[in-house]
Amino acid sequence: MTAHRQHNQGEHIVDRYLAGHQQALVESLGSVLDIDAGLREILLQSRYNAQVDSLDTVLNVDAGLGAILSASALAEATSQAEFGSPKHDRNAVKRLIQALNPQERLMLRSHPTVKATIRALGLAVALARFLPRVLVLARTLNIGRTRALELNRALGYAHARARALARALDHAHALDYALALDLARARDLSRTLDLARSLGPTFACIIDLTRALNSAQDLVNSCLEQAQAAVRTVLGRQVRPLDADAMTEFLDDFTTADLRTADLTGVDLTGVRWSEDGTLWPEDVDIEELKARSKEVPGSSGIYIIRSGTASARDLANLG
Amino acid sequence: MRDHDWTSPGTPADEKALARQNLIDDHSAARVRLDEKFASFYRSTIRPLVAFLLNHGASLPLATDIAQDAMIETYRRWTTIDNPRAYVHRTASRALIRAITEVREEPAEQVPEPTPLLPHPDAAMDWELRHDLLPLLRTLPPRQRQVLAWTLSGFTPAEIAAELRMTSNAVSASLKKARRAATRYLAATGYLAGDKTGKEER
Repeated sequence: MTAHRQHNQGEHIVDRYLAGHQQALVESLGSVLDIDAGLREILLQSRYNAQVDSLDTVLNVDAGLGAILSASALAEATSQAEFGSPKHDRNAVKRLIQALNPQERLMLRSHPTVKATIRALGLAVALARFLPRVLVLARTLNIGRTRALELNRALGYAHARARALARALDHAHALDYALALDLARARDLSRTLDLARSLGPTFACIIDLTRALNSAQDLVNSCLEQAQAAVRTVLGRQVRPLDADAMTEFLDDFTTADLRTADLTGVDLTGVRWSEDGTLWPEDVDIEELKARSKEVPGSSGIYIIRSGTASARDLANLG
Repeated sequence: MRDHDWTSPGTPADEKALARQNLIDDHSAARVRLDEKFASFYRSTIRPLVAFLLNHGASLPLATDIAQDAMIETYRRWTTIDNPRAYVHRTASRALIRAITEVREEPAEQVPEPTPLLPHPDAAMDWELRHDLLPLLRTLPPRQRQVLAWTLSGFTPAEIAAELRMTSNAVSASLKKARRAATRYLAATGYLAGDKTGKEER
């Protein structure tokens, strides 16, 4: 009985001691924690959100985004999957394709100026299509580290594309002085994106991204004009204006072309779309080899796109 | 480009701009209310939350880091959670388990960096030494330590059972064992007068 009482008394003391420990712990934390600073850190998110909301009073993001999405554009440089359902006027492109023989189009797409401007156009479109996604990511960002890393990765990717665009324009500029302004703009865009990346998830980053988005759209329009001018010059005649998707289709679509008599010597076929059933190749082209060097898009469609770095017509010839 | 700036009042564009401004004002007012509620919650909860993690065996820099992250998560989900206090404790306790696992995999100890909440981490060790029960809690088996930490933070056995996915009996048993260990520790360190109690419990 005495032992039991002593036991209860002991437990009571332990409980009291534990409660005292908890109270002392909580109270003394006040001497080492800066609670106001901790709270400020979290509420920064709130101020950030308020600033983003206030952007809506000066920016019409929907209109800006709509202008980009409805603008003429190439399929993304890395994804040709959208070719299956182009939004542009396919009949107009078909008529234009029929007006030229396949050999002429092969010559056109291989011309250095056309090739350089189309390359720049593809990169500009890819960037203009990617940046709205980055902007949306930045606008919906919370201060969680995972999302901040995601934004950083996206900005890094955009920055790499902007640098590639600047390089492509530099190359095009060497062929055509009219591209000087675009080159300066592309370099400025690259710097803006680099700055946005260094700013991290901040209000200033959103401002920079918005500026970059406008700049990328200007570059798309300008590159498209340059590409159309190059096509006109090389063909030596007027060609009806095409949007970027139509321009790509015009230069790359050989799915119904008869190339049996075409001279493919030295012709760069990178990006050419061809069809297993519709495209007629010269007799010495090894179709199986061609398939191996192409990507079927979409899968099992019988439509192929010749991959970069694999496109020398001579390599495809059955020389055996 | 922004034609609506010059249109006469009452046009659709004007009404759209006004509606957008009203929406932004509503959002701002809601955000201010949310911030006030959260600030009150943060001020009353952050110290008990850090203590909760310390009682789990975390160091002070780790406890403050995890508590702050859990608070950030709670703020982000404020409008969708019913019981912020339970949520922030649950989030912090799970994050601590993950952190402890990572530390075991990465034996090199990192030097704590100052954070807004803990501006002087170098003083943490001295501060921890002043709390003589922390060494005991760090020697308890993980389950007993968990149950004791939740108990000291004011959660009932039923709430603890639900949080830790245990039965109420298992919670009570773990708590009893933790108390006995505390009794022995206090007796051995001379905090219990006539340390018979502690000896009897061995």
